[in-house]
Amino acid sequence: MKLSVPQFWRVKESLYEMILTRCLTCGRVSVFKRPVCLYCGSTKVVHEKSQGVGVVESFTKVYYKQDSSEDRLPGTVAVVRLSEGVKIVGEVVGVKVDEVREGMVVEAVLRRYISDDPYGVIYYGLKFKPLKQNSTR
Amino acid sequence: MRAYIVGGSAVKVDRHFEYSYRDLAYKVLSSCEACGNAEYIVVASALPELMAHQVDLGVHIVQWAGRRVPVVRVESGESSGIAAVEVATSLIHSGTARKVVVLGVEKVTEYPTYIANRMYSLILDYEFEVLRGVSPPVYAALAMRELLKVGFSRECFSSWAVKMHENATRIPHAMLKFKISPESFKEAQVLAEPVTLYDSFALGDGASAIALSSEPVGYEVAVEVVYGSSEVGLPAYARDRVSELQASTKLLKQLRERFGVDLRKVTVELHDSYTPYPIALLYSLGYIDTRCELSELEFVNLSGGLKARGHPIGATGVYQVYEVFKLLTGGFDGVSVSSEVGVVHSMSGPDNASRVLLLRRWR
Amino acid sequence: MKAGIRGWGAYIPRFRLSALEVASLWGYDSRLPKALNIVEKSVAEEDEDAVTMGWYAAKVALRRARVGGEEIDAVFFGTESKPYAVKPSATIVADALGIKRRKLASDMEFACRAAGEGLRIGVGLVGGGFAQNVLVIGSDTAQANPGDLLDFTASSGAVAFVIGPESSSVASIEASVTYVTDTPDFWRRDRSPYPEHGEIFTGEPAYFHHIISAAKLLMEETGLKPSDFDYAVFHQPNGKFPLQVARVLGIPQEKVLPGLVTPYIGNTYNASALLGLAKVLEEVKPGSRILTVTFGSGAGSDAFSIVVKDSILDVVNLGPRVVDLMNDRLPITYAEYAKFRNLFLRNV
Repeated sequence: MKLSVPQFWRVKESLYEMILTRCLTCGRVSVFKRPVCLYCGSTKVVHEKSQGVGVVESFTKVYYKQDSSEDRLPGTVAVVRLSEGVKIVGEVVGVKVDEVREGMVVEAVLRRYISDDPYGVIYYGLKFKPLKQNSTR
Repeated sequence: MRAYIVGGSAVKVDRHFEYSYRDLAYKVLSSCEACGNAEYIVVASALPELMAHQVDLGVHIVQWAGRRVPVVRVESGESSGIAAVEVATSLIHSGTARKVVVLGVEKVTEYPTYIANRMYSLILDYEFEVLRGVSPPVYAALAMRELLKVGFSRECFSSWAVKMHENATRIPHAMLKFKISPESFKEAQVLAEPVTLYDSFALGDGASAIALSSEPVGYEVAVEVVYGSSEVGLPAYARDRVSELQASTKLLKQLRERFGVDLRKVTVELHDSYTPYPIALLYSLGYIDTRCELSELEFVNLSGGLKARGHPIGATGVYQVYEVFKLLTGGFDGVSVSSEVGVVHSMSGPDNASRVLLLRRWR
Repeated sequence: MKAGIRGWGAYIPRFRLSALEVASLWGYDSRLPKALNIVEKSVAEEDEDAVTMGWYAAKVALRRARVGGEEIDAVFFGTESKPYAVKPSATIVADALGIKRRKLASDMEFACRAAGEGLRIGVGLVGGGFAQNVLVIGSDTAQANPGDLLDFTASSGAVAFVIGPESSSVASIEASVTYVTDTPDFWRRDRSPYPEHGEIFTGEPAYFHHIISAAKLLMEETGLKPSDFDYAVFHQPNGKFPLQVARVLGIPQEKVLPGLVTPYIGNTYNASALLGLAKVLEEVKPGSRILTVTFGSGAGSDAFSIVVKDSILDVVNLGPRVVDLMNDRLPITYAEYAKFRNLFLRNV
């Protein structure tokens, strides 16, 4: 067993859905479910679910080979500005790498992150794919 | 109480297949004359659990070296080296020890590069960044794209690497002691567009040690650790721009405001894991504009930097301090400086943790 | 209480492998794809599986049904390519969609008709008052032994339906019936990566016998005649069988073609006939009656008579239509297909 089960199980809420942390003190919003505001340290925070739709602000085509990453190369990682205004970084899938453009509208989709093959657990989480007309938003 | 660097040593950054963590540590300790009589050893190392299945590395190094002095290991990703110096100086300041050795050691060649890459990537947030496909070159690529957008040319980044390679040719312990041409970048393998292998640090094993003493008298040379400061930045995804190295910029600005430090005049080692980072930093400090004129910064990274001296991850900071110490006290064969002041800057990831040290020649 | 379809959703990966490329690589006559009526098949990426595709279809289905996760009382996941041999896929999808914890949830296996049985269970649960809304997912990354005839058609896709009270539905399920026997026409043994099949035996005694029997049973029980149906959708292992079975039942081809998706995306196994149904729901006039008959090897068929209501027009555009997903295509090579579906023997 190479991948921990509790480590994934514990954070799956933040991997399965885009949870945002809104600070009631400074008003800023950070990505992921956090107990404390990333910007001002306040613990007066509320958690909200993002719609999971955003726009590619920047991206890079990745060739950097890491242990067991080769089946996903070349890949694309993008900075996505979610419709709630906050940025998040994630992989763009469902495309040939040269299709990705700045300004491309994308939606969050559930995919495999990593799997402990052939016997262990599978980590699922959200990535992005181009948003077609009438998609899951 | 003040802390003075009174000696040091460094092993060549290289693929030391024949040496383990403790072999490298022993090798550098035994070549460091001033390191004798240490009352405490602070080991800086980032990856031993992953690379060598070793927990409590410090103790195993000390036992291997046949000593019984207290030891602690400090880990703060790529900035482990300077973090260890922070701990060591506070051991001196507090009077816990009169002499402390800071020993940076890292093995990065125990596995093929693609496995080492995975381990190195863990300097980022595993759950929120690594699982999402983010790796250090991804952030470097996003940072370079931002800088290209504000008007920097691709050649600016190449010129940094060319300069680093040239500097490294004069440094005995540098890993890549050969020059490269700006044209060669066209052939460089892409890691994450537009960042290439030539924009990236050289990954090598290494060990470096410095001896810190509360008392400079009695040593041939001494450099005072005048000031040190560190700060944690925002995760790169949560900033307006990845290339906005707020923590590092703030620390270096403080040195300028409080101590009058001008990076054009002092000996300085900047953390240049990927070429966009030193460029972004010099830009935000106002030393360069988008024309990227580096000639006035002649004392920056005389070591060749992480780019060409090499980057033994957790040990690198100790190399940087050793190099500034050497440069302030006579230099290496063929490279010396007239300044009496030196600055070391280190960071882990794109400004996740940033640290600076201000050093001044005492004798 | 009667039950109906409140919402549906589909997912088809963009990547397509041409049947001619399969024929060329494995030495089949280039006329075979035409005989099978298959042009290309959809291929899931490396990081997709039945769970991720089913999640997408289910998310769209909830949106079309205009129900939240707290309103779903049961999740049934029909697949024969579950990522875990033991560990439910339904729970992963349910959690990732924020569906409440007090619910029924399980994976169902009956070759290509598990989701069809899921629909019937949903109808039963809603009808019996045990559930308000039941989410039924059919999703498969269909397996085929490379070079086997199945390699032309075995594809990837998912479909999902929310079954709820007839009164709040957009299409009422006016009748349904199931017909099953022990017929070993197609199977996959434990530890075997690919299914085996009886080739010609999969036709007459399996596919045709079960679909025709279920359809006739439905018509006997309801008194409906073939001419009462405006559309007919059958399980579609290739592009040829559904047209043949229609002929036997006396249903003209033009009533079958709108729901025939396999020629363009391949056989998505548990999503096969139901993707065809989803496509028809998106294209028909209110008042239309649709005959849908699933088939799963082993073997069995579920037949449904579905009548579309006016309110369907309000929800069609709440998600991507099947035809949009079919038209959004990127051709790939067999090498890319092999990489995407992990067919290379690699050290990992």
